Amino acid sequence: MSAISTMTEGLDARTTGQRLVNQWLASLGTARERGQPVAYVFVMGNAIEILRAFGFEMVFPEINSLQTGVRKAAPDFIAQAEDFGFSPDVCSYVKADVGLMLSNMQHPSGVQMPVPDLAVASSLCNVYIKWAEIWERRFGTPAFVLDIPGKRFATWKSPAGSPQHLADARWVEGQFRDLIARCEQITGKKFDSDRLAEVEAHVNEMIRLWIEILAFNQHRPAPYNSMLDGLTYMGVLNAWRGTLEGVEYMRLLHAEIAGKVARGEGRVPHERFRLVFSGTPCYVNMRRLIELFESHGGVFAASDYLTYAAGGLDSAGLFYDTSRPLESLAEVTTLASQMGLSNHFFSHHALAQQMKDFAADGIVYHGIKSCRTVATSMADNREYVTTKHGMPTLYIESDLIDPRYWSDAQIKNRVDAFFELLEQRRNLQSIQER
Amino acid sequence: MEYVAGIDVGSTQAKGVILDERGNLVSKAIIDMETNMGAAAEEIFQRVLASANLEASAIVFTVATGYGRYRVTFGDLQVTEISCHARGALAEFPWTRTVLDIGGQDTKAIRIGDSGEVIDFAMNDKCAAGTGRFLGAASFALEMPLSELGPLALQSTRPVRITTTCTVFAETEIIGHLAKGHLPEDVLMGMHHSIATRCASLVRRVGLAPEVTFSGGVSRNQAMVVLLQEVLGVPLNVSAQAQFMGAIGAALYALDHVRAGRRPEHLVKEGAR
Amino acid sequence: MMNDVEVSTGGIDAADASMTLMAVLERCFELAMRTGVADQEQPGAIGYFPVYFPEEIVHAAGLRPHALLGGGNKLEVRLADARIGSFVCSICRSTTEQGLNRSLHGMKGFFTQPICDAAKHMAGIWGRNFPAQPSQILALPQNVNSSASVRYVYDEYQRLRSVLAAQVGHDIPDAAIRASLHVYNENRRLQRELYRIRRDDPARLSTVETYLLVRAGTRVRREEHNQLLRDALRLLAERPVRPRDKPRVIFLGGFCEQPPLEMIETIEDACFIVDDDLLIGQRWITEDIAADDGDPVWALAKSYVEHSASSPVQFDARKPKEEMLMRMLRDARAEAAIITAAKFCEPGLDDQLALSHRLDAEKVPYLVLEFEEKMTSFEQMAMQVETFAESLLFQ
Repeated sequence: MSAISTMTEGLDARTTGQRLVNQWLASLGTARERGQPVAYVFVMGNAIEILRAFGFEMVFPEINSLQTGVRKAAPDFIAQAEDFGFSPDVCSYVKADVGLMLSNMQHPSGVQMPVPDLAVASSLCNVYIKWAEIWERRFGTPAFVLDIPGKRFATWKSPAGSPQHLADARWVEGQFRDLIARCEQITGKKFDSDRLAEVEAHVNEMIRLWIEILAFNQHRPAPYNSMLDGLTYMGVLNAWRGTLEGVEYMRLLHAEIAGKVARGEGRVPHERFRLVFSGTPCYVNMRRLIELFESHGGVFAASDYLTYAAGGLDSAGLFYDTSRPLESLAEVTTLASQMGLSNHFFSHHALAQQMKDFAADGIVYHGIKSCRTVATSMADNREYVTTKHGMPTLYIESDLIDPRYWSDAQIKNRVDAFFELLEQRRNLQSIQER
Repeated sequence: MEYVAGIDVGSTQAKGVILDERGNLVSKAIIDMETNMGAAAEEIFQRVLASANLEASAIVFTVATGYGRYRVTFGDLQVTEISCHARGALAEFPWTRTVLDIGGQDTKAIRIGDSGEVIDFAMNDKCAAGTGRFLGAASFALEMPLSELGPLALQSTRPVRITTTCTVFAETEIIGHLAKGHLPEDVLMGMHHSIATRCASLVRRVGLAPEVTFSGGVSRNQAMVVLLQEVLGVPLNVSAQAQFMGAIGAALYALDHVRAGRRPEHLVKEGAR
Repeated sequence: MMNDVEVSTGGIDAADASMTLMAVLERCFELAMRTGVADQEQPGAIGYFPVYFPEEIVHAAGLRPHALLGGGNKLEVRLADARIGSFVCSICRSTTEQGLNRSLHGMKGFFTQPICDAAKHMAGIWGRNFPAQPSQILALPQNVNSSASVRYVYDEYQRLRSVLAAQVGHDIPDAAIRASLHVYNENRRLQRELYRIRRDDPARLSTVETYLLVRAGTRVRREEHNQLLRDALRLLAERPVRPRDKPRVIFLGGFCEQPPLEMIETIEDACFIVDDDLLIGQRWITEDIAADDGDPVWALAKSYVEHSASSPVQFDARKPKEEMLMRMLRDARAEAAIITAAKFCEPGLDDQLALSHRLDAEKVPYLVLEFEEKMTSFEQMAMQVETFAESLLFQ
């Protein structure tokens, strides 16, 4: 009997996905009671496969923080963090999490978040490491920093099996072995390579389906909005990664989207413009942001967010070799880092490619004031893409979860002007074609 | 003879123009904004009609622009002031391909194509530095009307470097420099330079393509014109009707629709949100 | 020029010694304040973004390592604002500006390290805008606590070696690297001596002077810098010193972005800064590297993992920031701390809070300041520092 079918009879994939995420959040609250060890992990670079093999319950502080935005609790948490002494310029996710700590771990979802037995902070975002240092001081949980070397320059090529790839993978594997030793210490269990292979097999299937789901949006009309529906799908991909439930969900989702494609059913009733999104959502005004675009018939067919915030495996196009689970984990993690996760710094080519693959009419850049990882060079990237490729682009700015940076009138103004620009462009092109 | 109207409801002023079916300017009007944008829009419409000696029924199409465009209840279409400024600038300066509009509250840089279509735009509307408001701080600190700031600044021989990037602290910095014995004109020129640099940065972001038109209320400040020309390295077009550029552009869009045979009843109305 | 830097003078014989010391310091000032790289510099300079870079490898290739330290408070940023968000530290902006205004046109390459997210972006910005200058991330690890760390750093250093070899058109032999290690070991010893004087005899050598002496080394070949430092140390020994009664403080700020000289002077007017982390990258390696035993690149990699200083931008489980702070206070026999961070510097701002909490707990007096490289007015800061110093003297 399917693990999720009983609870999701007749529900669409999006609603099912939301329920699954809520179910997972709720289970975090009872982890301690059930005697399960708890690990804090991040979406860009982690070792979930290893941690699942040891039976850890996974907490994603990034998801906790984005949920405070979605549930309108961020301002209070952020204010507590700033009162505590954090500079306003610090990442708003970190501040929301500090607010959670100062609120006795009582999360607005109703869950009492457990404190971690282990924190794995990857080097894909340096703030992860500073964040983990805060937990060290608050909870006494030593940080495990997982250094995953990324792309060194824009045209960096490190094909699977090349000496450079193997050198980097060897480094990552060495750290995985250290992590395994730490897990054995914490859980009292011995590392089970077969269990790791099992988890990896589930991830493989989830990723295989995810890659196809991402590609479905190349159809016209796009069956889902990558920056709205896509966020729920991705939430499940992260929270249930490597589980049977996760695989079943991706199958459900795949079937549903395939059906829409077959019926020519689009996300937007009258799709007028297809767009690529670069950056993160504004979680505190998620729906409103999308509505501003969809009201003009604009749909986000693709986004770089769905790659880097979902582990980046889709970019690597590789799957784990479950006959050599640990070595393969290191090799694939390294490739995912270099081809997907560290792309913020060199994303101009990838975005141009996405524009082509998805037959997009323009790129929307969403800059985040408190996130330097995503936004430092966005203006330069945009300038390059606009000039070199002649692509229409829009730059808007707000924050991940801090509502103080959302200015509805100003953002609407820019979005409206962008669509006027796209319309004018289309009119001119059709005149030229005559 | 048929007529069209363009209504620009900004944050500090409301402007209106009426064009005839051949695109000739028939009348224009400007008022300071009240708190009620809808009322201000009504009033500007009445004034511009009176000035043209026309009844409202003579206007076959009205386009509203500016931040308050959705409050113009009698508007047939809303178009952003970015598109309208581009259109208005091109109408007056047919060779212009970049527009810099510095208003009291915001600043925009727009790159336009040969038909007046917007190719790219960049705005500064969150931060007052780099907008007319920065000069407002100077006006307050020096106890001088805005209109006198430009002429005085032009007398400067040794401009002071202003480093503050926040309008809130601008007054303090100005007073500090005056206390040290710097001349008001030198401090003022420093402030103008600061604005010019920030605005030039916006222009570069969209790409500077000659000719460049400088519009908006601040374009009447001669010191800004001189400085911007220096910083951008190109001559600037400045319109005598700079304040009406948005409304004129709006009216031209209205005329487009009329000439294409589209009347208001053919449009699906987008309600104000 | 140097007028506002206080140099102790006095006595008849001292006049000559002071003038020569003055000449050395003036030379260092002139060098230190050079930000650009001349188009015609040969055989060439390789620019690197903060904090630490294995300069020995660049030196062995015959190239000059050029530390990118920002544009200071005299540079007008006009072109970079269109490229970089406003919520990013100024050194990213001013460095990009220097690229755009062509003052770094002579560079033969650009490197940055994963010290923070903004720094990683610099490689992308540089690569898009200046395609003629190879631009890369030297992927130094944020995990130096693994038994596999040295091997990884070694591999990355060998990669750097081959990139530079391609640049100069010939291999870089081990012998050349060994020779460079010797030069740099000497350089670090001389820098340690400067810091010893600051700690034991602070009236003899100011922090601004130390800063200029150290920073000058990023603008000339190390051999020349070693000579400058030797001269300076000799002359310092002869310098007549007027004892002053000022509180002893340490000054910490991460300092990828450099504080204006005026800021350091403002603090020194009221206090003796007896230790700091200014230009820590220049003395990152804390012990001599074994130049002659085995593989010199391995020795260099090993020193990064095992004998390095600490910074907000390098995670190291062996060096909790609070412990490093307390140790520095103790070793420098300082009674207070001045903590600062550059505006928008995320690692610096995060650490600042943790350090403040520990200082509160230990009841050590401290002052927190924010700075930007482009600050030009210091009256407010002077008032804060003076008040702070007074409170120390009255304890």
